[in-house]
Amino acid sequence: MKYMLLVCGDDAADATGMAPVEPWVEELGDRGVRLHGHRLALPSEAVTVRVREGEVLRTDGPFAETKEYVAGFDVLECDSLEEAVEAAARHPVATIGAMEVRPFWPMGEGEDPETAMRDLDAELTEAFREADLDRVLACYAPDADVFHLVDGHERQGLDAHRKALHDLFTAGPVVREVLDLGVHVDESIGFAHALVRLTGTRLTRTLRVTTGYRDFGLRWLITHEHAVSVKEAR
Amino acid sequence: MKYALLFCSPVGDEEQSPAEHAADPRFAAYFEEVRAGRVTGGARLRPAADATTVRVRGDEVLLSDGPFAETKEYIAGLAFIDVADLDEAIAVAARHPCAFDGGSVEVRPVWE
Repeated sequence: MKYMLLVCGDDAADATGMAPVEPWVEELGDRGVRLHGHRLALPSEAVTVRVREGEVLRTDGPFAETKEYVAGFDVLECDSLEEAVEAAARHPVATIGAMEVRPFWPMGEGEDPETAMRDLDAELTEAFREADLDRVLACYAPDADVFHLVDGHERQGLDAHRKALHDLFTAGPVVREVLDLGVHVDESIGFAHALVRLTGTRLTRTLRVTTGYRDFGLRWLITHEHAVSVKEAR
Repeated sequence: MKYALLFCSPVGDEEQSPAEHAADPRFAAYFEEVRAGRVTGGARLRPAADATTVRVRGDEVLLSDGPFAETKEYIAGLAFIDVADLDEAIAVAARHPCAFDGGSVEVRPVWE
């Protein structure tokens, strides 16, 4: 489970005896507990925005005047709240300020980014089966960077990809098989590597595909795709 | 420039789940028109009641339920954005439904 650690500083506290934060960051990073984090500028640099009756109201300073203030964040991947609390208690700022530990609230079961990326790949396979060009291209961001090197021919750009797919689909049915798919995701960006076999009426081709994905809010799309044909592994 | 947006909701208001947000056209507009290409990360957080606050004083680990401070608004979620300047960051913040649902959005530069 993912937890957000709100690291709360306290200006009134004496920080001179506080241990440096770097060893905590390094150790939890090495263990895969801390995924990433940010330190924020002081609350005096904050601007708070409210919109009331269509008017944008801007005030300097944080959303609430409090003794302790949010100084930074860390995103943790922990098996339990206890593990997250233990990690929080070991953060040096816990000795002078406070650590607020709060679970992420995901969209729903099975809607994590990795599933979204795997679903998008399954959608590609289905679109190939239907020979539906528009459905294939709907998986790509409009400005996606696509590069294919197939049988010695280079193709670059979504338009070239569209034309090649058009030729492929008009030549007869194509079966897209994903032999191996590895997916990695971090926040709004993910990447995958796959071995994809295309079996058509006239040819069989195996591609080594590396794909970059980006979270577009309500859906993930392919923003980069690099594919090369490889000799069939036996 | 990188900024953090802290989405703050009034305490005591009924809280919509992420799935309800996804079905809300105002959130859809934010996602479609504002978020793409600017938001690099973030999280929706469970309600403040699910928070645990940890303080270490001496050798003692002190746990308390709830957020670090009792405030009229609480942090419901946050986002990290990469934009040209503060004006663009404020424009993004002003499009988030949190800003016009009686809550606020705090815009703070990331320490670089």
